[in-house]
Amino acid sequence: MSDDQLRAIYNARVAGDAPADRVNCPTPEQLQRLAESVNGGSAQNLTLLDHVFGCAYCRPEFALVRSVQTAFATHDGVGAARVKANSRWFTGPRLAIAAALVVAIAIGGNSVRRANDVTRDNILREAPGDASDVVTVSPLVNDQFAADAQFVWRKVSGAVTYEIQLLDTAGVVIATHITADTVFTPAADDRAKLAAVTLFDWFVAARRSDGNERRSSIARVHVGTIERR
Amino acid sequence: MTDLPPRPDTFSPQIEATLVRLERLVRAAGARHGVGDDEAEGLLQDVRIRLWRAHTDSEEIARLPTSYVYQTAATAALDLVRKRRRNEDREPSLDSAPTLALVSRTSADHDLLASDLGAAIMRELNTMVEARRVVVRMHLSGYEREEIIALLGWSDAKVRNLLYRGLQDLRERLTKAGYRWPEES
Repeated sequence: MSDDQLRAIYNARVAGDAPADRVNCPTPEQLQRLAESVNGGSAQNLTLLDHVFGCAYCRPEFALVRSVQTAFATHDGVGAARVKANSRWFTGPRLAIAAALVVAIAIGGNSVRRANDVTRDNILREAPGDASDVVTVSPLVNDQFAADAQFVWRKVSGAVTYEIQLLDTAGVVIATHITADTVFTPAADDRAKLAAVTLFDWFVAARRSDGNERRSSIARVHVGTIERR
Repeated sequence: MTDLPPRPDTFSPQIEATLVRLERLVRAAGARHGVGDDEAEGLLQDVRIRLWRAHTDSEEIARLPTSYVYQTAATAALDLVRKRRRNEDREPSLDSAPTLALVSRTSADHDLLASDLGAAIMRELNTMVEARRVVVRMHLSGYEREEIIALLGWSDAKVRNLLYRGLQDLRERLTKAGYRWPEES
């Protein structure tokens, strides 16, 4: 079932389930605050977004107010306006915390920047939910991951690098590694992180020189008893 | 006729470029998310009229900061949403019914419209944790991953993982429950 097929069915269903009235819908003001939010993923906003993207009436309204925000978002003038609107945030203690964060970010900056550079290129090129051309060999779904195990996948024609990601079951990244090889041996610190969980997911993305990306399906793996010792 | 919007050259090139960008984005949102062409056009016209009414001097208009134009456009969009809702209350019409705006026009969609696959998708979505569900809903609503990242303020890795995992879970659950796209069965 392709993404397009899922979308078609989902959108038809959303339209068919349009509410009879708007009593449970966010107000226009709430929609606008949501569209302007710089932290849309907060718990409170998530509940609103969950409604918006499942409501045939709210979705176009949100798209409308969001398009205004997006049109101006990259502009200096609006950037300045938003900074001004948020200036109350910059109190003394918060500035101290921010300064500490700047130091922390500077320390970790190189690795983060490398990771962002790699992914940013692909955001524009990669179709979400891209079909899988990458075949994982080991460990497979429901395998036990032993202490000396390696991650292995098949070579993809034209791939120049592979990015392997290890995730916990909530989707949080445990470790990520970029290699030109088709084998990845976790370092001691990665093994220690894996030893702290009972299950984890992994997948590998193959990148071609033109920036195109293909990824494997996600395999959920059990952590072996040796690893959990 | 003071109600007429000013000629494009009465705005600064900077503001004009922003308005052109706004028009493009609103129309794109319209095509993807069910905002009518007339509404998109009406919004743009409304922004120009508001600016013209508030600042009759063309030199003054040319000096307007973009942040001011943004506030004007945001207010105009908010008023448009309020107007939509007032109209819904008064006379829900077929023209504004979401079904017509959202449903794809392909025949395959119509064939599937009556099926219970859509209901199964909704059921499975409701069993997901909220963060994953929202990302999947946005994706199914036609939002690109870059847009999702910008809106939620989450890292690319987090959004990507929630999306991939969510779509994979959804497909697996539907398949396990015996649902197939007609061509696959």
